[in-house]
Amino acid sequence: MERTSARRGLAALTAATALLAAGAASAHPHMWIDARAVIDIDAQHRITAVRQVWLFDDMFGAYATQGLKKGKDGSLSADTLKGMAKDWMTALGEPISHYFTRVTVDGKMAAFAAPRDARVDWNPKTTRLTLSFTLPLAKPVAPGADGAQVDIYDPTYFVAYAFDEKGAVSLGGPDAAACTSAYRKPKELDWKTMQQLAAIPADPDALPDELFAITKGLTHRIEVRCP
Amino acid sequence: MPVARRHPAMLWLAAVLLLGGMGAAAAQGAHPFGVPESSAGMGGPGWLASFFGQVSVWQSHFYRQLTGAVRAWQAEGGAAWTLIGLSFAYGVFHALGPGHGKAVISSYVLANRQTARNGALLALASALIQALVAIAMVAVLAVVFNATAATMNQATRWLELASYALVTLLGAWLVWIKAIRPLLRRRRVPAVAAPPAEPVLKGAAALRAIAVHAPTPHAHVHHAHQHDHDCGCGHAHVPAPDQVAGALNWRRAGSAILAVGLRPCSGALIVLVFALSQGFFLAGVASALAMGLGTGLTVAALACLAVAAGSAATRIGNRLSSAGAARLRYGVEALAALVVLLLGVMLLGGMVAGGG
Repeated sequence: MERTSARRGLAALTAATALLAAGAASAHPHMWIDARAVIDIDAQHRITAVRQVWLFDDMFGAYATQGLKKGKDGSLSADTLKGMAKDWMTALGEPISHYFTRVTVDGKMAAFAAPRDARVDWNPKTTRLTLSFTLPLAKPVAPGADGAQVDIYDPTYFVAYAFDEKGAVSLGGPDAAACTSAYRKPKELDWKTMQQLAAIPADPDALPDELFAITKGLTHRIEVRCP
Repeated sequence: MPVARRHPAMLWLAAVLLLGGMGAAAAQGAHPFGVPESSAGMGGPGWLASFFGQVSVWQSHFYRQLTGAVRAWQAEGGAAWTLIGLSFAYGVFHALGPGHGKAVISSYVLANRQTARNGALLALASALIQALVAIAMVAVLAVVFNATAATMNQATRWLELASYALVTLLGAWLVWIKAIRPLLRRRRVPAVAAPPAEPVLKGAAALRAIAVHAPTPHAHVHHAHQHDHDCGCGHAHVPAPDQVAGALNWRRAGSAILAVGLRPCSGALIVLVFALSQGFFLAGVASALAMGLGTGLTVAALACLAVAAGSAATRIGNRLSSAGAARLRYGVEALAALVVLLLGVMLLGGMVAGGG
């Protein structure tokens, strides 16, 4: 039974992933995530990983868990949650999503290794799901003279992130104290930017879209400097 | 058309068609988190994109407050109106955004010379059907069968496909009736001296004969953008001769209402599931109906605009000459019919391209 429900959960998310995207280009956020990010710094003052916790909104939680086998208290089995985590990470790993995270040093985007420690938690009282995961860099990078930029955003504007909580952005790892971080909110989409955005063809593989967002300041930007 | 430069009414007409049509270009890809979302993307000229952008900001604004409103109602009955008001506002902004519903209704109304009252009725009926489809879907799938999100997404997908197929069929039928048949008939009339039968009857009968025997080869010949697969255009939509004009014929309008209403609005689906998760399905039902009312009234207003623009065009035509008036009327109706067909083909194509 447990196994079946876990598989159903997986199937649910896989199907969902394949299905919809549709709102993709419509710039109409239909999902909200309260996010937290920790950037790990090693002893050589290099960035080694980005750890994130995403708390999804209550409507999404209710929808995504609909029909899944729940305990008396509304809880989901460990198997189901594990399946969800695995499935979401797979979907997020697609090039178009790129974990909705990009690390740039000197204008070059750093590559990620396979994500670690992915887990999903479910709070039946608030009907909110949480996804936590660690994104290690394939090779640690040292923030240059211009620092390192960590950009978090959904290029399709389907998900709206918020780093509003106190301490939502911080540094971690062995030598966190050696560096500083500064967080900058995304710019409000003004009419002119929206027009430029609309002028970009809706090709999901087109890179300019994401570069556009980064250069126009439409992302959640964490600036890391290690003086 | 030179008339477009001469009179603002034609600009209105163009704007109404654009408003619905341009934004509906399907944009599909893959999003990692699955929520059913209409495949309407941003498209068209910049000013339109800006408009839709602003609309979507408001839409999100209301949408985000819905869960709080459901909980408030659950805690205290008097708060029901908050949810209903928010849902209504969401529906209004939902209708103003890009989507095929208003384009299909407006074009249908224009192509068929419907009155403003009929247009408004069509719009309201299709929005009501849309809300009822969402309610029925969640009631049957989630409440009765406890289906998962994936199953509901799949069901939405099928309804969407059916809806787009209906739009395409409706468009093909309208193009035949409003654009192609009048041309054929005009060519035939001078050849046959004093036709013995009523031309309307003759036309309809001829159409029925064609529709029964073959999948209307004419439509395929005249329009390069026609799809390749055999769609059997026209089979389901052959009108009886008495259905060509007059008061709203519900049986005939049914195809337009279904074409628009079959695909449930994702916002309504999600609110319904959320309300269900709170053990308060009634709140979801009320919310979905209020959304439908907001959408319906807004589309009704747009349809009335289309009717006003259409009759303004006729008045201009009358000032020219009777032949000019007929030609102008033909142009408006043929264009509106073509818009419906193009929309259907675009939406279906977007779905197929998106991996069905």
